[in-house]
Amino acid sequence: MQSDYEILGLATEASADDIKRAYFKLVRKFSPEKDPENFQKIRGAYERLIQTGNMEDAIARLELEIPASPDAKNIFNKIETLISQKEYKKAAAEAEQAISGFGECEAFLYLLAYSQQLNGNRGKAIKNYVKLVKQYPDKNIYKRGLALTYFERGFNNKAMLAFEDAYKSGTRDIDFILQFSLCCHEQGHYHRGIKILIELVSNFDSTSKEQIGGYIEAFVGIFTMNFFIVQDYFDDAIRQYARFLKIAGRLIKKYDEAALELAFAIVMLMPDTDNLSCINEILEETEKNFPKDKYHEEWTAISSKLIDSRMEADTRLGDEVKWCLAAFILAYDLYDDTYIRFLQTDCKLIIIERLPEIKKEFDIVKNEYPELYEKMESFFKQLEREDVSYVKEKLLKDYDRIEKSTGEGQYYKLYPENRPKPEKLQWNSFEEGSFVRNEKKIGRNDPCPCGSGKKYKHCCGRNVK
Amino acid sequence: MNTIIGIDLGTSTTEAAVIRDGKPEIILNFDEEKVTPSVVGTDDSGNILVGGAALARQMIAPENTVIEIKRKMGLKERVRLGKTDFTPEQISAQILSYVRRFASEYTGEDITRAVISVPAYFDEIQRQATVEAGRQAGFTVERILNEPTAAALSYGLSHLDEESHILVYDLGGGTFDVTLLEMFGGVLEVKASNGDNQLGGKDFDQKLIDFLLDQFKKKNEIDLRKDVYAMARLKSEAVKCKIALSTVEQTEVIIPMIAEKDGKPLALEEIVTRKQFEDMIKELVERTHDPVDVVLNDSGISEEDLDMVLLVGGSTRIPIIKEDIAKYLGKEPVQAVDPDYAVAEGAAIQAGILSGGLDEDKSLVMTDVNPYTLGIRALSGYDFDYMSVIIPRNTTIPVTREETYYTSWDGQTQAIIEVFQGESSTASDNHHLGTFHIGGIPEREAGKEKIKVAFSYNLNGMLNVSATIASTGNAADITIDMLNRDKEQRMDVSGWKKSELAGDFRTLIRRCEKWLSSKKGDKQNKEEAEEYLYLLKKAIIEGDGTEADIYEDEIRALMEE
Repeated sequence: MQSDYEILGLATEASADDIKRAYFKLVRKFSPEKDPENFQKIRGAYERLIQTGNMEDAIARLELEIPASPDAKNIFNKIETLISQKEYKKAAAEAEQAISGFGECEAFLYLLAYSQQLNGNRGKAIKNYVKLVKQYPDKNIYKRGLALTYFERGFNNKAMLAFEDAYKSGTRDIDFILQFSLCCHEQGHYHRGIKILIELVSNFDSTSKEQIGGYIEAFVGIFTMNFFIVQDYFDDAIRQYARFLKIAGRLIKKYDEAALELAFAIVMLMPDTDNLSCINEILEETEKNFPKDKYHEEWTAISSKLIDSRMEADTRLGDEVKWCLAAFILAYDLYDDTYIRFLQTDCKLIIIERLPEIKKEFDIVKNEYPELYEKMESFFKQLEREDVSYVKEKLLKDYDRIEKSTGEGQYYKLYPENRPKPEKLQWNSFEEGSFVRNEKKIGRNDPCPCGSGKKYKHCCGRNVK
Repeated sequence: MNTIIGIDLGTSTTEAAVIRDGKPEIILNFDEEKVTPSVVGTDDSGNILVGGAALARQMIAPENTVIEIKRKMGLKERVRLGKTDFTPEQISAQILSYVRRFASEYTGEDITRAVISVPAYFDEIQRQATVEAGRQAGFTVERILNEPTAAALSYGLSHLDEESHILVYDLGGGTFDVTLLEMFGGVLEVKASNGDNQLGGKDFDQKLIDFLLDQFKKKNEIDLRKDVYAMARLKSEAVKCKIALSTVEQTEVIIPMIAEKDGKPLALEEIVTRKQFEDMIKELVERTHDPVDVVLNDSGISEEDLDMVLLVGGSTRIPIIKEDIAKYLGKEPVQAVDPDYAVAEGAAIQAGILSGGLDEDKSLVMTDVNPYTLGIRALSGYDFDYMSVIIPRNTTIPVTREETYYTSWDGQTQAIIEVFQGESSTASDNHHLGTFHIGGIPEREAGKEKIKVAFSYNLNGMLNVSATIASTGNAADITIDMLNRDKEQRMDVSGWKKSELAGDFRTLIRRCEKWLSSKKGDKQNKEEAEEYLYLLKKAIIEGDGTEADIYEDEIRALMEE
């Protein structure tokens, strides 16, 4: 079989530019019109070479030690090609054979470790990486490979140390950092994880546009880990994110709705921050790419959460009002209908009791948070229209019934006197022991104990069988 | 005999070109014009008119004129022209056969082969319809070419040695297309292509018409929408107004005697400024941004790497379009080719390459991409309706790609391969192209048996899908001809009267035809009867009496229902 280089008529050391030139020259000769079969062959070779060109360049930059014989060089190239064609198993076998022939030189050992890592033989790969790290302590790439393989293998403790080691010696590529932060996340080192990610994103500039997907992932990581610790890094993170969005511009659209989801998450996670302007900036940038009319549902959720947090921060409103408002705008999908009804009834009752005192606060709500007031409007209208005590009675009935299944609400805590006296309906033998009759049993023909003077069977005992 | 012409079958106008002395040349029509309006109509005696003649009659008889048929291509809809209903293909065929006639006269040979251009974002059904129209007009359609690619070809022919990335922004009468190409060493490589097949100059006209109608209604309380004659005049004035606004800041639309009120004639008089017009179409212009983004993303080329933005299509003459694209891409666009003729010229170049009329060394080689994603329905996780992509959109064609799938349950002995086309990750939201099944899978545990599915897609839009069971080598395949799909060749049955059997069935056939053309009867029954009538005539010609008797009974039953 011809190699991709042979198909394009190139020597194996051809540069990316040579490859492109050769491809276009051949296309003129074997155009898709006249010779579709050859064209496909050329095209396939070209695509594979372009794809793997970068990898081979990276390997070349390592300046690996290769035994001086020309055979060794050939075998090296062969393994490289196998790797670029994703034939990792074959590549590993070739490398092993090369080592048995030429001894453990750097080049073959690295290719062996690398193809073992990609082929899933992580245990073997680790062993080889350890050897490489020991022999060449100044080459970062081995430390990086070792850390990643440890992590893939699930040896998180060892991976953590190896990650730190590689990081200290200057490894900073985005894939590495993302894996490192994932490891930190799994090990619970949230502060460390966030710190390296923030360092990564703060270096984002227009030259790293190709890796926007990775950066978005990094931000997701930051906000997730930040959620586990007390949100120490929130302000920092949103500032970075706003900057990121400005540079990335409309390229973020490529990553589906990841940016929109992130904006949503930011608003949802938002602690009491004074940095509202920054959040607004983020939302503005996000909206440019995900217009409101197209993503209606998401934006409604975001804006209601924003109003919500503005209301929470408003000092003019008392706790009771806030509590009531919250009950009416709760995320409905989180709770079942009965519970929401219970919460709302609870609030309605409190409002009825305290209406004169909190009326002023509701006026503020009416004027400044019309979106929130809207949800309660019908209730206030009902209060105006109907008799307040009647409404209260109806609500209480309802409340009492639901309260039995959902547990105690605020209202009974504040107004315990309104709680109906518990009636004993049934004998609970489990708690109160077996029933023992102390009085004499009433016979059917005895006078009724109720004092009517009739016989028991004609009075209260009429239905007893 | 070997000459192939290139045709740009546009929404509002049609052009044709042919290669002469290594250069494309626009063919003049019978009126000595380069541009033929894409209009079909009938005169008072029912003869079909095409082009300028039909356009001229549009004012007098709008109900007997069909315009903008391209927008209906591929739809099941029928258009009424005079007393008969036509399919969009038949109307387009009228235009194409007119082109064929004037091209034959111009070149002095009988032209039967053509390359026809379509918007890059036309889907397969629309392409099929275009091929069908070409066939009905007596053409062998050698190739369906994407319009932006054609425009780039026409540019590229005179800039053979350039090395550049070109973004072709093609906003025509009815469709919008963006294509990103790379020119390198005499090869024109299409990197990515996207668009919106329902956006164009006609939508701008519509905005203007709506504006004028609203103004008129406000002033006179008369709604002109129902008056076909008034609408036809309004439409032509709106087009003139739009064109004028590309050069002047404001213009006045005057249509005298457009309606009557209290016995007095009313005129429509309205001043439209460029600013007003720009506000009207702003939203439409912004719709062009999405396809531009997709193309840049798919091709992996950033705005800075673009060397040129090439404007094609009549609507790119509108100043705000130029400004908008310049602002959006941060690059001044150029009109290096004539927006009206570039596509036809490009089609002619492609035709020249195919026929050999163009010298190989002096011509371009072109590679194209497939505009839509192709894949099969597969099981993925819990999703039974997952679209497993095999050839992603914007892959250079011809291409062959292979994917391996595994059996999903223990003892699975067969698999159904359902081929889909489209961008959704849910297979059933996409367009279903075909289904076949492969049996004979050895009974084993789930996931132990491999099935290799290979897609190969060629330049003529033929998709071949094959499935092979890895362990046994058992294979099955299907070929989907995207351009001539499910068009079973129909026999010409008009000669049934000459057959010996004709006498036995003559009365019935005559009765049935009469019934079909009358207004009586159920529509569905009639369609069925029409099919049987065809089969009956076929049987008569083939001399198969028993077969003919069966169809006769069926037709009788349908007519009596």
